[in-house]
This record gives sequence, structure tokens and C-alpha cells, in this order.
Amino acid sequence: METKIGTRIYQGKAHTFGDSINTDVISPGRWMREGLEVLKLHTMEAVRKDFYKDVNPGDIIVAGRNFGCGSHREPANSVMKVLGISAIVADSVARLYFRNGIAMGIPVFSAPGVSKIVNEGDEVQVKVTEEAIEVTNITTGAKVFGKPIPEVMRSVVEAGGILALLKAELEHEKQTSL
Amino acid sequence: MGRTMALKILARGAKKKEVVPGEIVIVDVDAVFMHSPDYKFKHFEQIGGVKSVFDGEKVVICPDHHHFLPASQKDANTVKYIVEQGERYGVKYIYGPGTGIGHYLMVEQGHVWPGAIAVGSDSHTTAYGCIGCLSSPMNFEITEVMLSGKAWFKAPPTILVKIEGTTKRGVSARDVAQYVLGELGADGALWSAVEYGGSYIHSLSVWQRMIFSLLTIEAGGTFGLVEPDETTLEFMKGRAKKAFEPVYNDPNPEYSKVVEIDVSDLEPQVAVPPQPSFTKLLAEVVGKPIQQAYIGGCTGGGIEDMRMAAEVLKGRKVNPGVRLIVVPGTRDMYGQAMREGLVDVFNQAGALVTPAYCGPCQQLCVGNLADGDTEIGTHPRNLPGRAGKATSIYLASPYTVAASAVEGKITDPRAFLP
Repeated sequence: METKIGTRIYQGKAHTFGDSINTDVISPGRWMREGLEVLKLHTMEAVRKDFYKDVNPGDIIVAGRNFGCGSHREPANSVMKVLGISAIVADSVARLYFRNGIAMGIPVFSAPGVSKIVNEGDEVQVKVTEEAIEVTNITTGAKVFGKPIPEVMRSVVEAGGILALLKAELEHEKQTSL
Repeated sequence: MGRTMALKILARGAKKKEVVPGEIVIVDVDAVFMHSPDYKFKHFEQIGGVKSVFDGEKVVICPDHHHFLPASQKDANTVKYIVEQGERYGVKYIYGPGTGIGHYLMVEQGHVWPGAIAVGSDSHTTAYGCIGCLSSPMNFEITEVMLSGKAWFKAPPTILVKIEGTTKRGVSARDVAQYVLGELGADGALWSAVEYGGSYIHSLSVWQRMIFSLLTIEAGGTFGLVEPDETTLEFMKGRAKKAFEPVYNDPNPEYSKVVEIDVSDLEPQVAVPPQPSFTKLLAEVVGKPIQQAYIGGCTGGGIEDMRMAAEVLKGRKVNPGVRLIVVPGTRDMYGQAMREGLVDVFNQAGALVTPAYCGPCQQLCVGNLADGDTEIGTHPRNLPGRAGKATSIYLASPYTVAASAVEGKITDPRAFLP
């Protein structure tokens, strides 16, 4: 993919969580297969009851270390979209959750120290550039930086996930084979 | 400094001379494992125009988690859909109900081998490192790997966990692996490979090594590996679906960190809620009442695990207040347990023995916990939300789980062993 990716900005109200928020918390096994509209009512309930009631479209989740550890679960990523979360940024992100997020086009970033500079309800901005993941607490002015994600992955996020990319590639093959 | 086996396998897979930690590489994969491929096939439909997977010989389906036997109309339809679609897209290996847990089957049936690269949709796909196969979980991206046969990795640094010594009676590989996991912590191996070495590791069977490689994911690791040795090569005889060339470390490989552990005085260990890496001495939780005990799962369904449990249960009865569920890892392991008389021991003790599958590790098939119940099991994970509202799940060795089932509370098994 030779797409040149520009700067991308996410901004919204922060919901803060601690360390090791795992996929069983985000997507409880018991509700996972009932569909995302049901699942979203139970997201995070093991640590915060009725979380969905607090979320407004565009909000950002800010968490501690190892966000998304545990089982592989697509619903644990996709439920964020249904809830209206625009981005997730944590001190560190579990590898699988990170890969899934990128592949599905649901932005998840790591910026070490972010949990220390953001409180519940603060206005937060996440700026994704070639050089860094820049997180600014608009409410307090504090900033932290995370390592940039590779170009190839940014192009996936930009395209809205790998399915969209695959579809485009297959379309392209079809066109060229005619 | 020499290269680690992880970097060497990645270099071979990427057809490159050298790969350095941190580099993004795209490799050809030798095997793809899928446990619930229904939504991967739905992705194919969404994409449109997909005719077949990249290589039907290399794609393996085992609906071991949810669909051992359909418990509802919805599940029955899902299983039917998985089999139909698997056949439609040319998948050669589709394991049916009762054949076992995918991770055991991948190794047992020779879908992976020393030096191979495998990916799987289940998070515990670090498992096949027990034979020196570079294996790692992916999930959403599996759709793409199934079509291209290629996957990207960030080449990892390797942490060496060097384990020496001989354990005391009643202390098993699970106790040692649990201790190691506690030392590494839930994110101690994030974006790293972990290699398990030392005389203790190389004294273990392939299946007991798998407990270590598989639990690597609970420390956040990308790969969990054991360098192949004579045990590995003996085990692989006549098993692999393809001729293979194992990959070993260079002399004096470069590790990012070395953790040295002596197990000579290690006491039985336990994982306490709410996460698998929360390791404590078993002695700290002895006496906690339990309602369910589980011998099985991809870290406790092996033949040796069942032998350990039977050693404790022989001539004893499960406490009437406890359900003990024993789930063999594969049909072959189930057969072996029958021939050795283990199934009879379990049955006489009052345990339930089910066909081979993932068991009640998650509340997806049978063995659900009631509100407020406590369970102890040999399975890999105890996260809250995993088994309904129950948050009280402890993880331990087959000895400890069996002894706890007899007593109705968490129990040190050593008094039960000759």
C-alpha cells in the first residue's frame, strides 16, 4: 500500500481505567454471543457497573498497563465502536488487542504515562503522526508521547480495517483480470 | 553474540538472511489454527469473491470451545455452518466433536513441527513452542492469513527462563510454570519471546513443556519456546505432516534478560483471582471451600495430568458438595486413560468424565458455575467474567485440584501421595 498517511486527531472526554483490564472484563463470555447491542450493556461491568450509560459518542478510554490482555475476542474491540468510543490510549496495550484494534480499524494506542496525567472526565486529545502518538490533556495541558505505529499499520487504520483493504484488493484484481 | 531461535525461524520464514529485534517482518506460515471460524467465513462473505483458503492442507479447524456438542439451536446451526463453509473453501482438516482441544491436536496430529511457523485464532496459540515451533495468536487478522498464507510479526527480543533442579514429590510442572508466570508478571513478556531452558525443562515430556509455552501468553509474550532436544525429536517421529528441518539457537545467543530459577525447594503454587499471573503459595489459600473442580483444559488435559489426578483419587471419593469434571485433552489421550484404568478411577471416585474438548474453562458449553461458587481447576485462565458472575476461580496442579475435590476445600495434595 503506497498510501501517504496524514495526521489524525481524536478528541473527547476521558473515561479512566486501571491496569490489566482484560477481555473478559471488556467482553464478558456470558454476554459475548448475544450480539453487540446486548454486550455493550455489560462491558466493563466487573469493574464499573453501567459503564455504557456514561459514554457519549467520541469519548476516549484512558487506561493503565496491559489494556486488553487475556482471550482473543473480536467483540472486545468491536463493542467499543458500538459504545461510541473514538479511541483507546493506555500506558501499554496487550499485543493481541493492539493487533485486533488496528486490523479492525478501531484505534488503540499506547503512550506510557498517560494514566498518570488524565483524570476521569478530562478532555483528551490523541494526535497520531509519523513521529509519535501525542496525547494532550486539554483540561490540564499535560502531555505524554508514545512511539509511532508503522506506516503499514497506519494505512490499515486509515482504510477502516483489513476487510476494507482486502475488498479493495480483490476489486482491483477483478478489474485487472478482465 | 549468536542469534536466538526465534529470530532464526522468522528470518527463514521471511526468506531473509538476518532479522533484528524490533523489525517488522512478513513471513510465510506453515499452519493456521481456528477454533471458531464462523465469523472468519462471514468475513469472506463480506469481502466477496473469495474462492478458497491459500492452502487447504495448512488450515485446521477445531470448534473445541463452543461446540463440543451443540447445546442450542443456534449452536447446532453454527456448527453446521462451520463444516459447510470449511469444505466450501477447501479446508482439509476439520476436527469433529470429541476429537479434542485444538492446541493438543495441532501438536499430536503433526500439523506443526520444530522450526515451523504457526498462527491461531485462539490466544493460547503460543502453545506449539513446546516442540520448538514458532507459534503465536492472532484473531481478526486470521481472515487475511487464511487468504494470503502470510503474517506480519515484530521480531522479538528473547527472555531466557533457565530452570534447574528436581522438584519434590507432589510438585508438578504446573506448579513450576505458575511460579514462573508470577515472576514474569502479566505484562513481563510484552512483545517478547520467552525461551524455557535448563535441565528441569529438558527433563519434561513435550506435553508438560506445553504448559510453559502456552502460559507465555498470560505474561503478554509473543512466543513461548523450548529448544528442540532428543525428547522432541523422538516425539516427532512419524508425526509431522511434512519433512522438516529443526531450528536451534546459535551458540551463545543474545537474550534481553535471563531469569534463573532453582525448583529444588519449590512448594505447590496456585493462581488466585482475578488473573492467571497472580501466583501465591498454595499454603496461603488452603481451606477455602470449593463447589467445582476441573481437571482438563489446554494446560491440564494431558495423559500425565490425568495420571497425577488418578494417583490422588484412587480409592477415594469426591466430596458430595463438589462437582469434579475430568476432560481429556484429545480422543487419543482419552483412549490411553481408559487403557490405563484412569477413567475407572475417576468414575469410581464420583467424578464426571466427558469427551475431549475445552471443558468448562469458559461458560460456553457445560459446567457453568452458580453465583457465588468457587472453582479450582488446571485450566489456563481465571479472569473475572470468564465463568459468568463467578469471580472466584483458582488455578493449580492436577494433584492439588484432585485433593481439593476430595476435601471440598483447597487442599495441599502431598498428604494424599505415597
